[in-house]
Amino acid sequence: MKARYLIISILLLAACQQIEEPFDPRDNSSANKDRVYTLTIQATKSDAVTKALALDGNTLKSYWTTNDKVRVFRNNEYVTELDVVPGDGEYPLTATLTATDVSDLQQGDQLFLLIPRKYTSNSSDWIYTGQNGLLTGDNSVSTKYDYATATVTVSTIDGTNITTTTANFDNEQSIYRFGFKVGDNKIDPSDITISSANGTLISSRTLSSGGWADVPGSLTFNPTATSDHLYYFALRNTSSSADTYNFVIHDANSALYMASISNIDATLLKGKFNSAKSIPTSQTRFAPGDATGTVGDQSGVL
Amino acid sequence: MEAKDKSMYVSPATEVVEIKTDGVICGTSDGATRSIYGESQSIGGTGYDED
Repeated sequence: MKARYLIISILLLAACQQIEEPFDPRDNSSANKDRVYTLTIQATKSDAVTKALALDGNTLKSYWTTNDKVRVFRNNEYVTELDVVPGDGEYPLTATLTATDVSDLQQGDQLFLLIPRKYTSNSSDWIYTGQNGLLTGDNSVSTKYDYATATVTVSTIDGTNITTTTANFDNEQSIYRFGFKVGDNKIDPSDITISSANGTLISSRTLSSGGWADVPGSLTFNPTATSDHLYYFALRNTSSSADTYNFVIHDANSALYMASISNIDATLLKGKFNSAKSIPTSQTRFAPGDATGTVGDQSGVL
Repeated sequence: MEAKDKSMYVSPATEVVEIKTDGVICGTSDGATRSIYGESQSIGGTGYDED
């Protein structure tokens, strides 16, 4: 029995010695890398809401929600994910951001912050594929494709307080509202392929040691039918000059339509809400069900 | 039975560090901010944005 008490005493002593490892609160240049910290950014009141985008008339509002997540990267490597507590108001533009398991921050560290809207297992997911044409709900623009970024610098580490520079999040794409018609009739597309004449439409972004890189490419969507025949997409376009979007559309009967929107000003390609609710389309003569067309002839209009 | 003092079991691994940001995510009392998309811009030409 005495031997058992002796062993327990030795274990307790060893544990106490581990707990008493020195931590110098006067060190204001770094957070102890051997410790795990909880990162808290701001503390405002919670006003839980469920939507990240709200259409108020013709104004598209973007605001913090409890569903948001903010991912933190340093030196192009994932660090942690912050939970969001929105500020006051119906459409809070401020929030508290917190995370646990943060360690090894240094004064002067530059942190890249990314709002991915919806958590995925891949910390560097930044994709525009798979959109369903809805503004809100699962797989919608609001819950998954509304990316925003900010960059901050750790300015001081003083005891249990770490201060960084100001962060303001900017939207990284524009949101588009599209509607299509043939003659006076609205079309409900079963699929839409959108390409950019300038070749600057982005399908995804990838993260490597060299930083984030755009992956250009056309985008094909399978939108969910809506009663108003309007569809919402988040499109990232990196062109510095006016661009043209070309559309290839199939309807529910597999009929093929084509359309385009030209002279989209470069200032509208990022951070804007753009609308074209009645885009005229032409049906190609070689579309399925039309045996009169000739391959290569795309001039026919119903 | 008397409740145990949980503070006895706090280890360095759970130490809390607050990161306050100068203004927004990092700083002012307003918290982290983000921009909105704003009012819709009609694109595509006359009639393209009509109901």
